[in-house]
Amino acid sequence: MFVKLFKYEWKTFWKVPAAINLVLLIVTLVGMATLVTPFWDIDSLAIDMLSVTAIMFYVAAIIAGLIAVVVYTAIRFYRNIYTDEGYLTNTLPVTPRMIILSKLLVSSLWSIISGIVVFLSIFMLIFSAAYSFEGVRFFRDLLEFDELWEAWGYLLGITTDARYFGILLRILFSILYTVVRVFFSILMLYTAISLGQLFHRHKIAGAVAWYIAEYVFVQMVSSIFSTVLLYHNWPDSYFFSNFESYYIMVSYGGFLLTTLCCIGMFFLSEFMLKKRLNLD
Amino acid sequence: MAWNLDADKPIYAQLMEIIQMQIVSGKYQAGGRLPSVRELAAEASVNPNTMQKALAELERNGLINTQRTSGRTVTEDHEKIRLTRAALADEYIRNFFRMMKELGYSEEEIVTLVEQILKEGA
Amino acid sequence: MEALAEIRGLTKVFDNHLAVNNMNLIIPRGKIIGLLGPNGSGKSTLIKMMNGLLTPTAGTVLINGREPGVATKERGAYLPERTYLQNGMKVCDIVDFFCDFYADFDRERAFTMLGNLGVPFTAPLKTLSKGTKEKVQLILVMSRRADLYILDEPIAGVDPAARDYILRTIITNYNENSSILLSTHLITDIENILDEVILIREGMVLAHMSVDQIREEYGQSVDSYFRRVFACL
Repeated sequence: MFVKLFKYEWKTFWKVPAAINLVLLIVTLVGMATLVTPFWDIDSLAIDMLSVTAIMFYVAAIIAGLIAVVVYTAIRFYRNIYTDEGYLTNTLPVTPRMIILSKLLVSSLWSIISGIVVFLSIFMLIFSAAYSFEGVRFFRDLLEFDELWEAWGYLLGITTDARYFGILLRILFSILYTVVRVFFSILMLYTAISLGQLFHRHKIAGAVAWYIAEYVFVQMVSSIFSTVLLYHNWPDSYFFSNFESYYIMVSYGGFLLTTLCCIGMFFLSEFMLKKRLNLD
Repeated sequence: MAWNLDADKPIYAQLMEIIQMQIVSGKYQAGGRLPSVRELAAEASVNPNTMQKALAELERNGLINTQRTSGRTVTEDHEKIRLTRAALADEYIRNFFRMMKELGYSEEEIVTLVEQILKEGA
Repeated sequence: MEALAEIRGLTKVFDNHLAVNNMNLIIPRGKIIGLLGPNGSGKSTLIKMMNGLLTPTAGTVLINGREPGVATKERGAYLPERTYLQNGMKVCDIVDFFCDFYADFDRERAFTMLGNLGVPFTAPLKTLSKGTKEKVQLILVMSRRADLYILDEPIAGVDPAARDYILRTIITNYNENSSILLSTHLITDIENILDEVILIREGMVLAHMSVDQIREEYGQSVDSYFRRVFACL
């Protein structure tokens, strides 16, 4: 059943974020095309101003695209569960847990894909810019750049060498932490929408209010958390005698806290769907 | 087409009448098979349980039989069908006379009217 | 055999308003039951609680002895008064969707009924009229082999020809172990197919009896009985 839910969620979900990412890629390709032509070399004030506008437009496009994916995630959850579509979703022979989990996984995957697309876009533009300044020499230099190969060898080395296992673990850890943070931000939307249902009227406004409340709460807790870690035992303890161990504490502690919050928010959304569902 | 049913009488009683009518008029021959309850119910646009009740009543009256293997059949007793037919005719004529009397006709006048209409070739 | 559904002390309060007030009902097996009542009498609220879409304020709903959940949803087919079809899908997609999720769904039968009512299989749902969408939803529900069919106003929006077809579908589709509970305010159209009626008003059960009982005891149709009962209140 879960696989079926996931399949249908994917089928209805993919079009919007795919379109957003496609637009982002087109913007990137247009940018790359102009960068490799001598267009920007023209010495005039108009071109200078245009280049500033273009960069601003590009940054705005990335931000708008990412926000659009987030907003779509929220709309999809709200519409499919708490509006007319919910009459079908909530009468399927599946548990609320499966419903939430399938939506969480699909939207997380698309958030991650969108993040990767943004990274690719930035890298492609940087490479194009470098190419337009340096020509093919840039790539040749890059290929002959010894440190690059050394770094590559180092990376290969630590994956095979037991001594560097810790570094590999840390890379894996930061990937895992990123995924958990994606879950966290989506679950924040889900809980806000679910709690918004407690209002008799203005349920969407209620959801927005809950989201703001959650956001403020998270900011407060995380700043308290990092401040406490910073001042506790500081600077006597050898534990925090260098910045790195402090950083590790913050990231492991943050990871643990975020994971716990994710679990809590997941169960809260599930509870709302299971025990407090009231469709208009 | 749904069967025409009156609003104020129990539905099963009306279904019985209609099926009796269909049997004596020869729509369902003596000894012939009747459609299933479900088919009859769908044809009449009535609840299958009500149709079932009507058929059960008719079975009690001996007009139809239930065969273990082949469903329901109309009785092979021609006398029974003839009697049913006569009973229905009797009922209709009595009803007719009752209504004509309500209109204010005497029995002689009714007979004269009937003969007149027959002559005109109704 | 145990009752198909049992409703005990069911109550729902909205905003200090009693929508369903301490309702007790037993839904037997093998019956077509009409849920009748004026607008706002609590018909949809009751139905939504039976399908787990509303959380009762008090009381319980048991279907096959279970509270609304995965087990009752597997065996219960529900037609809401709302259109739940997602506009991005085609008619055949939604049939596949039902086929995937409900083990008791009969695909052949769904396509036969769609064909009989002239619904194009490959039409996107957003191009269909409201009446056609209602037909599609009803066909989806009636193509299941469920224990309990709960139909909320199934014939309100469709034309008379389709209505006849739908009523015939309801008659031929159910079996002696399943029951159909259908809410309506158009009593005349459906009264001949009902076994029993439940009359509700202001969230309370006024009467629960068989159609023939009403006709025999009061010498009038359910429709006129209904009018009489509700006119003097």
